[in-house]
Amino acid sequence: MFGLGLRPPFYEQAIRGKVAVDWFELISENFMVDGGKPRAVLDAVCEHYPVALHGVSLNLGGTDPLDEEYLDRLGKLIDCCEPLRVSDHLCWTRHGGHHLHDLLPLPYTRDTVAHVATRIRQVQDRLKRQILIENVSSYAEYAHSEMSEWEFLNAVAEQADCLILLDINNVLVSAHNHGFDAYCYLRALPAQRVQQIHLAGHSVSGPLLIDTHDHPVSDPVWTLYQLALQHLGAVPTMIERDDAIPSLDELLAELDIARRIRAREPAA
Amino acid sequence: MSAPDLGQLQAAFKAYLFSGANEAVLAPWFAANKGIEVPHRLDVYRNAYYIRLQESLAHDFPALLAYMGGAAFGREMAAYLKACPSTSPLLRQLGERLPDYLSDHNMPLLADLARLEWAVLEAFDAADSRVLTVKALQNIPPERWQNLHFELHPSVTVLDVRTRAYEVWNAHRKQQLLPDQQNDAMAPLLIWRSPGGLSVKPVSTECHSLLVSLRNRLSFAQACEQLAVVMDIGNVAQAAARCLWELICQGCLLEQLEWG
Repeated sequence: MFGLGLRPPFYEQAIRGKVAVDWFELISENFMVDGGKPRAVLDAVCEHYPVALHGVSLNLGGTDPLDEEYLDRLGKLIDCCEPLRVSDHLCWTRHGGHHLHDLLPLPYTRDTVAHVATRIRQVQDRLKRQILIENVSSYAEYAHSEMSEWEFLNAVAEQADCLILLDINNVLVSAHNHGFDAYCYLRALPAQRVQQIHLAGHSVSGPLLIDTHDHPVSDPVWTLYQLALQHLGAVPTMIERDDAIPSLDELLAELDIARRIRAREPAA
Repeated sequence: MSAPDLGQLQAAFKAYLFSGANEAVLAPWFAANKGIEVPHRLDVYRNAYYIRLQESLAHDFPALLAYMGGAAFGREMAAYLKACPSTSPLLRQLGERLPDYLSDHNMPLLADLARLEWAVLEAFDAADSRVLTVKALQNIPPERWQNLHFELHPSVTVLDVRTRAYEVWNAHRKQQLLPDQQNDAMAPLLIWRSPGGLSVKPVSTECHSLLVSLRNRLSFAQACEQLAVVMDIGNVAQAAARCLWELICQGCLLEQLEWG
């Protein structure tokens, strides 16, 4: 139940089935192409491993209409690799036809919950499956928010009847940046909806933590992971690394830490 | 201050990411908790926006970056992103309008270089298709040649360059210094993907003429007529056969043929 984010430096080993993981997570948009190497990699990796698809451009929290062409491409990709899970982020990424290629924060209001949940339901109806929504790191909070981030996440998941991808590093980063209790966040999550966990590293920028995915998983994130497992039980877990990517052995050694923590926890 | 609706808020946030000019409008909608000022918090998003997108362009246009130098590249890409914000959910498409942008701003060499690098990117993940073989060609009955249509592989691009962009690109690829002496002959370029990898090569005037005709979906007979415009009519048949042979051997033509 332990995976890695599939990144170009690992393509060769992954297509030979030589990586000791149970599954790989693929960034959906990287494989929304007509052919060539990306599609060949996708086909070859799927011969050896189950995969999960993780998107960054669904724009679930945006006010632009859902992108039909994007959903078509995602649907084709799903048909092609029959993923274990399909996920995207609880944020907005596009406005007025312009894609901002960032995971931008939403106000935690009842209106926003209804808006996002409606869009998630549309996506799920279109894809004929439940999707997972991931909590994002944030650096600014809206003054008119009416609830905490975890209340917002839970309300959206409940109203949309979708699943949750819990990024523990993002919880830590946002907890630091906004001064809330990360453990409180984790304990409030509905265990039955959390179907995947992301572990990653972050950077320090003055008083803020930044979700950069360019460092090893930090000790506080490991501690939170242990606490999360006590509450959530065994959840498929993976390491996300997008920059300063180390050797595969190093990442697998990090994944072994997650395995050891899981092994210490009794089944929930 | 009343709370903005979601669309109003996102419009203002986008405008801030693009220019930063409306910070005074946006900032009051955020909370200044933990003693960290809102402008400092918003800066994280604005800086990340430009850094992420410029890194993506640098990844997709490495020869352009090397030729311009980091500082000039950064300035020009920031201007490009302001003029041509992303309209695709795929970050890979971000540089699609860069060649035209550079051309519109009277930078012909940079525009050609960007066009060349964009064609390489397009070839990289173009659709897979079976290619025509010499054996299949030999099975075509002679009477069908008159109306035969060849189709280019989806990865094929034919570029008319009017600058030394290929020299610059090639020097970067080979990690060589750019020759001082300008090469006068600016041959058109053929870019394609074969099982052996991506290729870029200058092509002769005759091959260029044939490629352009095929791209314009002319029949082989019509393509030969076009060849007669750029060369002696007595040499057309031989030149057409040679160019066709080269294109087939390079894997530039689709297996599927059309007649009539």
